[in-house]
Amino acid sequence: MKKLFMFLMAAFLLVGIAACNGDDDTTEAPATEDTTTEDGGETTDPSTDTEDDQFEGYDYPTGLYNYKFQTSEVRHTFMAAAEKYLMNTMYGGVPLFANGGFNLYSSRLQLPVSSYIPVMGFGTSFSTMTADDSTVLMADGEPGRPGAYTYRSAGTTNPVTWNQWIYDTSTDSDFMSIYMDMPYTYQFNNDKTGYELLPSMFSANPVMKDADDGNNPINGDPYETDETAKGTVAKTWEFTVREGLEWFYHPDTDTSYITDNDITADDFVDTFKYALAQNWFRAVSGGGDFLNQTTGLEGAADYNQEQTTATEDALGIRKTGDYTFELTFLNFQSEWNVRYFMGSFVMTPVHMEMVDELGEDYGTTNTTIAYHGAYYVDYYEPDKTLVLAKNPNYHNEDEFFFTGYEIQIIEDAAVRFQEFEAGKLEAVSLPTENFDDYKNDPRLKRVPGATTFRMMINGLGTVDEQQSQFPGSTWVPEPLLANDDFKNAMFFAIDRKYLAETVLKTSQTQMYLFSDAYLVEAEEGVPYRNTEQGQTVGEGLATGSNGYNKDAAVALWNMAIEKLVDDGVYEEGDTIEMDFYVFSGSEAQNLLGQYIKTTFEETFVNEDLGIEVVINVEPKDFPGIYYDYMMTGNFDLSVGGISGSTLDAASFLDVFADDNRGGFTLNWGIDTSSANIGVEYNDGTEDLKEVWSFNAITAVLNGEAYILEGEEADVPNAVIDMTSITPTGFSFTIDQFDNDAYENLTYTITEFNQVTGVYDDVTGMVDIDATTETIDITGVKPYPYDYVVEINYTVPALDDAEFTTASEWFYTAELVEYSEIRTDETSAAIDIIFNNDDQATGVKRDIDGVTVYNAWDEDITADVTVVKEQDANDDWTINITGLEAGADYTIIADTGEAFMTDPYVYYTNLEFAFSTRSIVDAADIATTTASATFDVTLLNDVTGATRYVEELRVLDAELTEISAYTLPAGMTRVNMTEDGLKSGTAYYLEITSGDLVELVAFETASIFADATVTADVDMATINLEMNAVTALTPEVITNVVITDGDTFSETIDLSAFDFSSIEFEVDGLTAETEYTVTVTTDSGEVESFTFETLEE
Amino acid sequence: MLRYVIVRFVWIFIVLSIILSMNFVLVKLAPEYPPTEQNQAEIYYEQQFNRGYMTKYTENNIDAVRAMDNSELKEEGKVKFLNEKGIDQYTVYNPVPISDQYFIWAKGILTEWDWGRSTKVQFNIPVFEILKSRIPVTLRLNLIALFFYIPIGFGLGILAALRKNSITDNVISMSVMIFISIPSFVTMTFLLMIFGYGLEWVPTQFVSGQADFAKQVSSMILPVMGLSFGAIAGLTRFTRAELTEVLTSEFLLLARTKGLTKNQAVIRHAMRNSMVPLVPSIIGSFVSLLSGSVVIELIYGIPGTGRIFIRAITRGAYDFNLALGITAFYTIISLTAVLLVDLSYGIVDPRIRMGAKK
Repeated sequence: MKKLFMFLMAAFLLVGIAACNGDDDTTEAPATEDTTTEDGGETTDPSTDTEDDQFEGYDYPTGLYNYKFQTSEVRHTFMAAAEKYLMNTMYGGVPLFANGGFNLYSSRLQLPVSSYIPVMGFGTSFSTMTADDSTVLMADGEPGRPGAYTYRSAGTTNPVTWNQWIYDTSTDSDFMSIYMDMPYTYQFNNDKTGYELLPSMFSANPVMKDADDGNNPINGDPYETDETAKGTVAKTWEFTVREGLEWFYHPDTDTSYITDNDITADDFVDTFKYALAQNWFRAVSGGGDFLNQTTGLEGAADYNQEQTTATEDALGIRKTGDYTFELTFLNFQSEWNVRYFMGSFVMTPVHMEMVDELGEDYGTTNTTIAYHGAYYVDYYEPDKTLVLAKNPNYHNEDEFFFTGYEIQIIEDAAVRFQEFEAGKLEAVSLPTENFDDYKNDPRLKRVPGATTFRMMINGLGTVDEQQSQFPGSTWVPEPLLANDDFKNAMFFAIDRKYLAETVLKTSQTQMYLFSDAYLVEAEEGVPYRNTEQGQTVGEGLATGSNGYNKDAAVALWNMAIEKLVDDGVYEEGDTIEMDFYVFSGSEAQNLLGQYIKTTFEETFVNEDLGIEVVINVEPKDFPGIYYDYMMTGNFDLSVGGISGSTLDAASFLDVFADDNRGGFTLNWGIDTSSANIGVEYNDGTEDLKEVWSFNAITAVLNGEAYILEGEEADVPNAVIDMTSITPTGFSFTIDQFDNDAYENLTYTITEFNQVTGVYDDVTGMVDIDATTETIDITGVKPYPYDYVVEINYTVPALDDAEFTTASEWFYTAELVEYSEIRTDETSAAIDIIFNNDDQATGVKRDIDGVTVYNAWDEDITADVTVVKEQDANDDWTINITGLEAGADYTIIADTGEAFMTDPYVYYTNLEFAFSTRSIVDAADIATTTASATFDVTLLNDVTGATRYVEELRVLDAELTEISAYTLPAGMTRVNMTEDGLKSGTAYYLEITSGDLVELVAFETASIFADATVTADVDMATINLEMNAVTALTPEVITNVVITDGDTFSETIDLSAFDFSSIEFEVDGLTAETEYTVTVTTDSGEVESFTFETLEE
Repeated sequence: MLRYVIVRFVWIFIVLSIILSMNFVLVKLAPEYPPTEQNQAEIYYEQQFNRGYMTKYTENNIDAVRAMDNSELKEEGKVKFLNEKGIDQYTVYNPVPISDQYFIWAKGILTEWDWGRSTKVQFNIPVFEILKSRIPVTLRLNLIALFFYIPIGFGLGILAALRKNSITDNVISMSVMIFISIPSFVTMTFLLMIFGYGLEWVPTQFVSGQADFAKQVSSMILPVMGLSFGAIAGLTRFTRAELTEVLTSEFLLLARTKGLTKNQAVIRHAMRNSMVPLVPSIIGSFVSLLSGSVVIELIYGIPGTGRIFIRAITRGAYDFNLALGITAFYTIISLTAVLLVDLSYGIVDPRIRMGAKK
């Protein structure tokens, strides 16, 4: 009876609360009614009605959809519907606050705008100044130079890198945005109410390539374009680099090797390719890169994996003229998308000559990069200062007012603020503790942040769910957190204004998942939050009090806990303990934790049931709090904040999807795949009322997706049975085989081509009708071949449109299951057990022939004895005798199967390399330029019997005898010196013991300490440094002869001089010709080496 | 004597080795936070591999790869799986035993003077290069502080001792108690607020290397004062105590009775005797100065070793190589100071001969 009373009270309270909807809605409840936007965009919340009632008159859309290029109204409507769904279910976590703050600006600084504009901020870089530096103090405490206008600021840390393609910190980004140019830059629009994206390093907006422009060199097909609601989109776009751009080098930079100062299309194309090949972070990840689905380039993934002529030809980065190049994207792009993609300092060239010269050292200091921005870093002292001066080569000298920047590195926020108060900085972020003193200062500006910090929820509820989501996890999830009412109760329990302004002081009050820094339509420049659709999201969520409604929180809590007690999940008198993780090392986070603890413990108490919630606040280190806890489900509640691209809010929706498609899903136990979001909109042709899933909305706002009944369609796909894989066969099943939505299912087997790097169709296995769900394939090739199964199908609902899906690639099994090589001094035995899984019953693999190669890859099968044996188990042993001791060999065993003719497999599967046992225990050979001293000790044989050195021979590289020694009997160790050898020459020492012979290689010392040749087409620079051969003083060069062995011969006679180190040039050489340099020294040493001139 | 010094240097080397070895092991046992960014992580692990701290192999067995994708096969301990986007294979880095790492590390230092590269503070820059740029600043600051506080500390100490129980002594003793009690960073903050931001007599932050010499000198004033106040107080107190004790000793009374003036007795006998414990304490206090300068460097923006040391041992962002390099620097300074202390006994009191045969 008591429980019933409580339930009725709660229900009554909720009805009452719902009736009080409005601005002054301190008793507002969760949404229970439809909401409609003025312009026809309407979203419906499904929280109370049954789905049938709620969506009466609605359609569940099926088809191929792409709303990336839909009208602003449609995109905003869908975006708002998606966010509202997350807010009503708390599937995106409970919004806490945004990371906004406050800035103070100096009185001499004249900001171009008074209110914050997304992207542009307050436009500090476009500001002017009312007084020059002589009127203010610089970092050294002295007034600056008259006539100079330096923007003085402070950063917190040193730059990590100076290479824009691998930058990863906001500090680097802040610095780079000053000294790097961009292809397109953001400028204020004429009335300074928004921004424009205008050409900077480029001279014009991108131009699309359409069918009239001919064929795309990548595939030979006409360039592709498409019509959308907003106009024409294309896959290939051409860019024009501004003529006259020049690199600028720091005065201390070594530029002696630089030959080209102009910035042309080559610089962009070469840099893009190099960045991709080198796997530079910004080229392959981080969003806006060349590999992701949204902005990915044609062929970029293949080129990233392997740089061959084939992958380069297929890469969508091509130079089309001295100042033009084109990019081919995987997906259609609008002109704005393309400009936005290129509106970044990352998409600028690096100086390739400098990269080649400096290697890993490129971009490690301010003097190891070349500049193209408006400023360059003139002086850098780590932990102290960066001084930037104007780049005299910058193409638009008058674009910026400041004559330079002076950026101090000050870690401590309080010290930074003191420096500002002392008049030494133009701007500073206001520390929390000073907020009360400055909150009415006219110089104070509020800066909205891009990150909404949320309380992430592990709503998996049960151990089974936990282990299903995270196999092997030992975390026990809290059942209360899986309850939707309790999730909403947590939302309503938090007084966000108090949290942001009183507890955290300088944070921004935020009840939504997207702050007002985000735009859905970047081209329009209107923050999503300010649009009509964006403002409807909060309806029913106590917007007047930023989502705070304690009564609703208590009511929802009571409903949740009573249900869970009824269900037997909890018992009366329970104390429910939950961990709440906050970032360690932050006082603000500590305060946040304490606020949540106090609030939840006060709010979530049910005295009737004697149940209370206890929150344990635990600080966790960054980034482990994400990687080790939230992303792996090892938490109850945790604070987290992820920001996305502020200019493309829709692309950020994927971090809320239940399938972790964005890699940053932090809330668990959610379902965003079911169609339960009602959307009313006009697609340009008619008014529509449809029901969509969150995942489907996310997909269509970011590109093309096949939608089935309002959800992302499960399409036919081949699932490989990994246990079925044999050397020549495998099985797969076709997912959705029985789904009537798909017809004409066929499969194609493709094989990875090791030469071209692409998957080729396997002859005889193309477009085979799929008549059964499980299909067995035979006749493929063994490991290391790999395959992909493609499923082709048509969709009747889409006018029999044809689609293809591809399986994951996989290797076939190895041919040899087990092998072992046993060797002694003169023989080897190789045991082979074949993998016969794919052979018919009774049929086993066979070894047809064996070829033996020595270390020089010479076929010596005829010189040795090879015996093949097959035992009763059909396992094989290959015995080889007549080998030399201590030598390297390779054998190739031919199974006689067809694929053995393929060179790739030939050298991979049945190739066995081994060395015979050496008879030499230690051969210490010390050499001079003319002699070698041998200290040779022999090993005992395998029986332990002592071996004796009987004969030694010194052989040249051609194995021709130079000298031979027959040794007295009984010598197990030999120590002797061989004179009269040539310097820098390879020799062998042949050791004979009984029937055994072994060769030991050695090389005499060179007379050169260093000999380098820098060859060009028709000349070479030769640098020689001599060793001390017989005394401490190095050899003196007396004569150098350079000859091609034919017509060219030049002698440099140095006998009148006393040089042990020379550098000289030789002219008149012929391209691509080998020359020999012969050097004679005063002690009569003669040594030569060769070099080759370059190709013309 | 020379033999003694040589033996002591050998001991310094041994102690340094032990301290660094212990540090190395402790640091290696601590949780590691490699760079999270893929490229930097790859560089980091390749460096670990190249230095022999880790082994690596490519895992392309599709079952294992899938297990890694699905977190069924997890990284345990300091094992790392690195996966290139779009490629079904992982590079698995496995740390070798710490003892092996230690020998590689020690060999790198002893044979190639290779202290490794910074992994966090100044990514990929050799540790020794970083130290080379920072040590001069820190040493200069501390040496100046040393030469600044000695005469003042001595002077005040002698004055207080000679005027024991007078107002002068009381004022000095009171000041000593205050400054001994206040940590150097508090003193520094006060000095900064008064002389820097208040009176504007000196720069509010340590100036960069670009500034003129006079400016650089003036920017030394505050940190030197911040470092010195505590040290002056300590030295004053110690000098006063030692001298007071000597002044009441019988040999000084004898000196006076033999006709020496008070000044002669104090200067020739009292002060010389009180120097025996005082001089070593001065050298030893140089080490205290160094540790105090770590915080002062942070407050005054001095680009010295202290700042990077703090950053190198910041939780969650350890820079092992750099931390060990700086530890070595501080350890060498400390051990050398101990040697100088021992040697100084012989200079102050000729009766003491270190290393003399019994």
